Amino acid sequence: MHKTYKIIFRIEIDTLFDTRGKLSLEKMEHLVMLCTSMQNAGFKVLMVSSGAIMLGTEKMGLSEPPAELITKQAIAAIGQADLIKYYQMFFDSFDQIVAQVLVTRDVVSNPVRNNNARKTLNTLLNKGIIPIINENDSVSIDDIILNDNYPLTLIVAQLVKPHAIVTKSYHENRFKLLVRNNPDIIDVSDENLFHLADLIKSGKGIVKEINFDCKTGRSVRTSGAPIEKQSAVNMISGFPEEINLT
Amino acid sequence: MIQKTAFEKINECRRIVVKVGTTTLSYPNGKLNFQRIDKLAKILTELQKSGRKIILVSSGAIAVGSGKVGLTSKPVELPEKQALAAVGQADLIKIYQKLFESRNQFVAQVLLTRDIVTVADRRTNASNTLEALMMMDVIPIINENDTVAVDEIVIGDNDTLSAHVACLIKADLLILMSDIDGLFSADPRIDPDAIIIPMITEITEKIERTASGSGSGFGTGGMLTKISAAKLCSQEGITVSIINGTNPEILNEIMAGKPIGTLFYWKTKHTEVKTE
Repeated sequence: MHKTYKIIFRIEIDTLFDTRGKLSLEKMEHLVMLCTSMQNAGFKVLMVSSGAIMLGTEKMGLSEPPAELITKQAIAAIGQADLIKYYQMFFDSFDQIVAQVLVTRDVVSNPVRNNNARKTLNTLLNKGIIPIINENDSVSIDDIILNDNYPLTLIVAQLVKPHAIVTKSYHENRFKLLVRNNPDIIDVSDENLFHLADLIKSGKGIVKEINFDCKTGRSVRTSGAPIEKQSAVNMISGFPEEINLT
Repeated sequence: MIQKTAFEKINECRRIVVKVGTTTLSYPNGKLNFQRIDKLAKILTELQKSGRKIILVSSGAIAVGSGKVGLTSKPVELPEKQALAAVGQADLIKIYQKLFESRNQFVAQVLLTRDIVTVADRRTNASNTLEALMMMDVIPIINENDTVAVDEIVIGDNDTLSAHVACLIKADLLILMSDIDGLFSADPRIDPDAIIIPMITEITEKIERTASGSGSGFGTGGMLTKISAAKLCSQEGITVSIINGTNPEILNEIMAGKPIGTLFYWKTKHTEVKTE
């Protein structure tokens, strides 16, 4: 049977929003197309996406996200509905079903929650549905305080044990691929990610060298851009089996 | 006399939690009844614009999710239900958003688990979020967070969740809309003389026995969960109304003081009307 690869896309604010803080429909459509294409190529795609507070801020006519925590939570509850609506709108246009999964940090420590979240995510993946995951800000405030969705991404990684995490690179229009059990990163443009999907599908080309299951630890740079290797190694140290969550 | 006063006092309620069940939102075939949801959104918006604070607790995510992925039968396995809830919740909230925003009423999605009762931090966070939303004049739309909550979805019980929410925000009134007209004096399917009890001031053993006998076969909660929801509310003196949601217009009639359905109006601790 064909091996399927789980990939988490970590979506940060600037992947979706323009510099004025407005949702870029163009960027989102592009991202959605990319994810659907990866899914269609046989990957199992999960998304960890920020953006709820930005959208809530815009909707309520505020010039910038509120500083006060409680207001931020309320804004997140308003914006999350919008975030998922926009995602759904674009995914619908590519005939891809998505699901909204809101989690709290205790999916790691609470065995019942852990089991449920894991089962829900795997059931969605098995059905070919892309889960779009965010923190449930209404009842927990960890990410909202941190203002960073990387810890949440690692929590999801711990639940589903993906083969790779796609995260933003510091270079514009590029993604980094963090490959499981291999503290190496591949700096790719999204065109190359598309290419990757095609290659995986056809079973030819650079796929073997990219080596998603990483037994050989080899990787391929699909572009000539330099990689901030050391920092990335630090960032993903222990990923994904030994995540130290405090 | 007290009965008349009780129904008339509903008009003074300012903080109102409205719970709608899947049977209210959908046709018997499981597909959504948009016309009815539209009416509901219209009336709730009007109530909000009249200066009241409305919180909607809505079921329906699994039904919507089933429709979306093309399931014809009800899912049985728990992970399946949870996955469908995750798919359907997104759609459900999108539909609400569309219908409310077309009337210039903003809504927010709040997913809760039973933690809001047992864990102090969660309780505070949930309460803070809801208060902030009400202050911004946004209608929170609440459901259980089915993805992580296992025990709740098995009970499938938004009646209890809505009662907890009502207590959390110190509501004046909880309205439970479902496919039953109210609490009957006996099982109406067996006893032709069964009538709706218009008002209850205390939950006696007899009432609990009646409720367990006349469990509605339709909705997921049935009458028992409604009685336990009412019990929770009785501790805070929150008035509870059980009405049939088939025609959402009934909400306006209830608010106008018409005696419809069953009203739980506590004689021990009457609701004090708070000023917003």
